[in-house]
Amino acid sequence: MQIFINIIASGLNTCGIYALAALGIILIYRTSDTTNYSQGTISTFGAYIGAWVSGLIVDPIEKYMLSYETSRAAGLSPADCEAAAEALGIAKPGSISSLFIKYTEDGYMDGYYGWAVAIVSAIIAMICAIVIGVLIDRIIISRARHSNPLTKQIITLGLISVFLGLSTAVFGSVRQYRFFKFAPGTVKIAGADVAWSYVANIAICVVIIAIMFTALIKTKWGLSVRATASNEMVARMMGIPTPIITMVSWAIAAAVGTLAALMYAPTTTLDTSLMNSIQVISLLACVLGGFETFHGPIIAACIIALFKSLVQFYGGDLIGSYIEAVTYAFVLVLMLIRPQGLFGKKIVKKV
Amino acid sequence: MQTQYKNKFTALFWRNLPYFGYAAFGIVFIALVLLDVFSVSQVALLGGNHIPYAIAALGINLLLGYAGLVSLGTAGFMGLGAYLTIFFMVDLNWSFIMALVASVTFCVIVGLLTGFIACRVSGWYLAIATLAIAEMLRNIFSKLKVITGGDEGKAGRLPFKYLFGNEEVPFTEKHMLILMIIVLTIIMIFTLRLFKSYYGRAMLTMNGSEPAAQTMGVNLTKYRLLAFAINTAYVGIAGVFYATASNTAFVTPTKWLLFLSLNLFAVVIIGGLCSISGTLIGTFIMYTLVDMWLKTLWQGIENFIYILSGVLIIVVSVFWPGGIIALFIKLKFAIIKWNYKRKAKKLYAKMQAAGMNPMGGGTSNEN
Repeated sequence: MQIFINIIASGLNTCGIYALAALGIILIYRTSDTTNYSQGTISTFGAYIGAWVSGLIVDPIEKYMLSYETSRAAGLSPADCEAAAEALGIAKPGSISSLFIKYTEDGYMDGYYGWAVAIVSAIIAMICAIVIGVLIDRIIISRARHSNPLTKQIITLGLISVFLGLSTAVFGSVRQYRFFKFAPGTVKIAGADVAWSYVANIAICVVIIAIMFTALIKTKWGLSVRATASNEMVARMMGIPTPIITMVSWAIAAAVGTLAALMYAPTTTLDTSLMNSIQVISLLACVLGGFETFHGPIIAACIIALFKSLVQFYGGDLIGSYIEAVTYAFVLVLMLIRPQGLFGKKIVKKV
Repeated sequence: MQTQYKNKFTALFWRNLPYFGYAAFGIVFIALVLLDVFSVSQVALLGGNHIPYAIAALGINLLLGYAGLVSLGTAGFMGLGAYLTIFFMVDLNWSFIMALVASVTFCVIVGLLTGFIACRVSGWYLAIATLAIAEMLRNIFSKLKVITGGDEGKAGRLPFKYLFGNEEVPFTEKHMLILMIIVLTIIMIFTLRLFKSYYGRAMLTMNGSEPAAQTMGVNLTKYRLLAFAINTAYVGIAGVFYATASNTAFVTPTKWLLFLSLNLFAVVIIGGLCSISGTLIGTFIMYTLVDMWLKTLWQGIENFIYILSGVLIIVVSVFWPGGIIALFIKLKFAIIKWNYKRKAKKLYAKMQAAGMNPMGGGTSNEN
């Protein structure tokens, strides 16, 4: 039972990541009528920004702590420790970094608040991603508004190349994102030890998806998005600013994708191929759920993620090693049964 | 309007000009290699290395431009062809021709299975279904170590001594290059013939409107399967050549990512849909120009090459949606228009000189 709960927890964790990525793809598909193949690469670029920001904050603290620790072990007072570190030419971290330093009760410095750094860097990365999304829409997508869907897809392919080049040119090829333990420790749920980071990730995903769907259903923005999705020309005639709706969709997709990448990055090394498999699975989730609805892809992402983690554990060694192939085959079989997606409507052909 | 030709032979020549053009293309390339005008490595740099990509892109062009079916499984099928060739040639010690036939047959069988999915789903659902098949194949490549060598990959062996059998035909990298050019030329001519035949026109009708095609008696299932079979045959051949083209051919699962399929897709779009020479131009731009020349010219800025090729793709698809070949067609029509204007002016001058009124109606006006 404990193992089962742990598997479900890790499955829900990946499910949240897939769902966020799929949410971005479906938003862009519905408002600008193109499958965004560059979603994963843009998200990876956002994750690079997050890792860079966190490095900016944490690097001076870690450098300082290295010299501080030896003095502290020698039993000096906090002020003497600082003086000793300063004598070595390492100044106390600057104003922004110093906000995150953790102190013990007797005044010694004791590391930093990992979760705070993670949240701040994630927020900055998401803001940068929003700017990137807006720029992409304004510079490229809005100019290609009237070209056919195929051309738009090729444009997103061009975006993949651009962002692959940019992320290696600006940030170097590999960078470690260190905040796997931004929520260290475990929590007891029904007798099983579940990692806090899983709980936090799942909670964040649920909150974001809930906010998005509430906004889609209740607000005026959501109404405009749904109108644009169902028929762009009529929506424009009714006075809905469709260019702005498309722009906001690109911004939200980039931000949400960046968040997914930042959640996924700590489990592996952060390199340019970070989101490749997630990109493929979120596209599959969109197809499985049906491109016609907003909730379909999210539910399909959950189905795929839970199927993957359950089959991987209970399927034995052979199936476990071919888990990806088995997952794709499962999705293909579901697609053959319902070609229009699990939640899609059947389009009736009229001649 | 049927163009009038002077005699039967000129008519034969002008009507079949593309065929002669492709044959001439192949002959010139082979002559360049045979006469040692360029060395093998120079021809490889001129685009010889990227012949497999051109063949695969032709397959995509046939599927996308003519049948209107989108496939993102190209990379998977290409990898399948490459791995099978290496398996047959290195592990089973078969000859090159036998390995080629066997791997392409296997690819076509898998392609037909994909085609059955294409009968059920369409549009971007189909694209992503084929993507799932490609990723499935890639997972098998990295896990089925007996055949594929797992994540470490597997080194190919050139068909140096074995082209047909164990009779020790002297066969070098140069001969391989010539063989590739011959196969490319045959494929180009075959593709054009297919486009002009009943099959090609039926596929084009299917692309235009499926209900209309059905009304005209086109069997949709048959033509979808046919398109997928030919596509995977081309892509399989491309994979075979990828694995055997050079001494240093090395095949790993990371080569067959979605990025490769999308890049080949971009080759077709940049070159121009439904155009064979456009596909070749696209391959030249996307692979030869970007991959070989710029990288050797400006070493150390490989990241900027990525950015550059991305910007190129975006600019071409935003500003010239018809592809590079559309520019040539525009140019051709401009020349024809200019030629007609020139002729009309000449005629005008001639009539004025003869004392006739070129603007007026001649005899009928005077009644």
